Amino acid sequence: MNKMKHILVCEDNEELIRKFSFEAIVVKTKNPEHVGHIGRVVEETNKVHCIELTIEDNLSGLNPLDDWKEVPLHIKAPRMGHFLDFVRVRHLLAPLSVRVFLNSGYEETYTDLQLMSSLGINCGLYFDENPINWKECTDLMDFVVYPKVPRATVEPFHYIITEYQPKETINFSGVYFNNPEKYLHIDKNENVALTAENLTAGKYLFNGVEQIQNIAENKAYKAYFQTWKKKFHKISACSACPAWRICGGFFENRLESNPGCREAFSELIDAADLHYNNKEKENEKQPQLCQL
Amino acid sequence: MPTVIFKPTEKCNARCTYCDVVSLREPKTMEVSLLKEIFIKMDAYLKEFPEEKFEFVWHGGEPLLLGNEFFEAAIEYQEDFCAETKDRINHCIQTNLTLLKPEHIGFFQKLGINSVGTSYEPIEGIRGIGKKVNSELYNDKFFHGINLLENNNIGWGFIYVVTRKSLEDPVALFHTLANLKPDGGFMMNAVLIYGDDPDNLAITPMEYVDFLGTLFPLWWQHRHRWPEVDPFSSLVKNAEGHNSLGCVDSGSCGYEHIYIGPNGEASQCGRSADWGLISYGNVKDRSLQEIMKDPKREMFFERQEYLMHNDCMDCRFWKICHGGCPLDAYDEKEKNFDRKTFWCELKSVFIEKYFEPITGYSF
Repeated sequence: MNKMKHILVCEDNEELIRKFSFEAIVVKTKNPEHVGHIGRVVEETNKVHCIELTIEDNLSGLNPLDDWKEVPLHIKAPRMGHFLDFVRVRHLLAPLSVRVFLNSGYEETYTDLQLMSSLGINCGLYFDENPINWKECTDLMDFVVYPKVPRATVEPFHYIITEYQPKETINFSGVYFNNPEKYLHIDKNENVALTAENLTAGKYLFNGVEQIQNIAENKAYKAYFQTWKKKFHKISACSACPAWRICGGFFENRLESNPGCREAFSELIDAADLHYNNKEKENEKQPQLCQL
Repeated sequence: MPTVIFKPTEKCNARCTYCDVVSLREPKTMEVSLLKEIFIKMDAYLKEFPEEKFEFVWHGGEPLLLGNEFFEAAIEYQEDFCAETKDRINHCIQTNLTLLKPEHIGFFQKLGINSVGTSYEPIEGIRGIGKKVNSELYNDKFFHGINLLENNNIGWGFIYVVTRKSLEDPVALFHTLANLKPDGGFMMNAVLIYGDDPDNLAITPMEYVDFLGTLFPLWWQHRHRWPEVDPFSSLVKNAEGHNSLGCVDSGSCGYEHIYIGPNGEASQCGRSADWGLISYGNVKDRSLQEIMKDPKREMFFERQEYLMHNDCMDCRFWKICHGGCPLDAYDEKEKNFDRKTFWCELKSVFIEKYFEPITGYSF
């Protein structure tokens, strides 16, 4: 048994999935028609944490299927697509347990996410090698963290705002099932890696699903959680960033080519502070009035 | 509670460019036999004063340079010679952590040390190993030590020494310090360089005040994010009526401190010993009771009396300053401490220019 209670992230390989038992699993698939089936296969001996469906076309071209109702779903689409087409999809997505993620590399993504959130679809940004429009990103963040009316959540901002504790650092990679404190990645050959990137790059922790139960003793696993300290050997852009504790260097690799994360996330941490303080005030004991 | 500043060794494996330990040609280290004597004398003191406790601060040099046998002996002597009083000896340690090994963790745990004081420097070329002051190697070892502490649930806090290089970008520096320790627990002290300053690291007291003044608004705005950052958080506590004074401000060090050096030499504190200013004899020849009642301590009490009725008579910061560290006030010609220190003026500048206008507190 995995004493650390990690959630396993794997491709939609039935043979592999059937090797697990009593595990919470995230299955990644690119085939919309597999979603329901994979969900049922996992549930035979395990528990579906989420199915992550990555599509190449715009969200508006998607045809959600009836059997998606049974599974928690993340959909990664490059763009929302045409609004009128999206309206059709929106009605089909509304009853599902779904978050839709759009690529941060497209200009319209930021306003499209505002639109989706306003229409009640939980959604978010995902980041790849494309540049991020930090100004638009900040506008989206403001939209999320200072809502005037109830809206659906937008990640990773919602996660950061709600999980933020002033004296702790948080890792929002969990939004993408990529935080090794909670998720481990495994391929069809049972190679286990800390992150999706490590799995792709062949940087494995070990081979064999049964070894996960001893992961707390694994040197590479333990060492991973200390790697952030390397950034503090000298003053660096990340070490000196006001938003370090909500970002943890997530955008470090793109700092030179696409700076702007510092300003955007500094605003976000201030918003997180405000949200936290408001929550604390709400939790303070209210004066009791006599019953009338 | 008496504080024993225990310096069993003058040796240090690090080369900090501002530290005068590196200039010692023959750094001394305590013999284990003398350690035994110290525990016997602490026991005698605690038995005579059953309401008292000792704060026993392992200092250096670098105390982790002491061999394992030294720590094993300390544990053994405490068990053997302080069987009834050991619960009233609170051990603390100040170490650079670069030599920390798993066996030290065991020593710490047996001595009841659950938090460690250390120092951190992210600016290159100031704290380092070897003649080249290798900062990368130093910090590599330092963080290895931090990991070892954290893996064993031992807390840590650090001192940051403000040098001229710190003035280049105080905000970036502050964020680095605060991000390293999200739950707080660090102190920013001005570098004290007496004599030559070949690396031009010394800062003027006013530069230190302005350094703090640059950071204070930032800290104040987000103080719940970075709670225990000194000198800010202590000042706030004092302004709110909670006494939180370090040794230099307490005005009571004369009652509380004993320094014991590697040859058993007793003095008031590390600085007084380093400067050869005050000698209370040697623990080999005197009991701790005698050292604590040494007539030379009278000059500290007399200084407090003098300042209250002279230099500091009308000072509204008296309660949080007490004229500052007596050693900073020492006059070579007069051979006494009867004056306030140059830091007093600067403390009041900081409070009046930055602290009070921003916080709304008033002393």
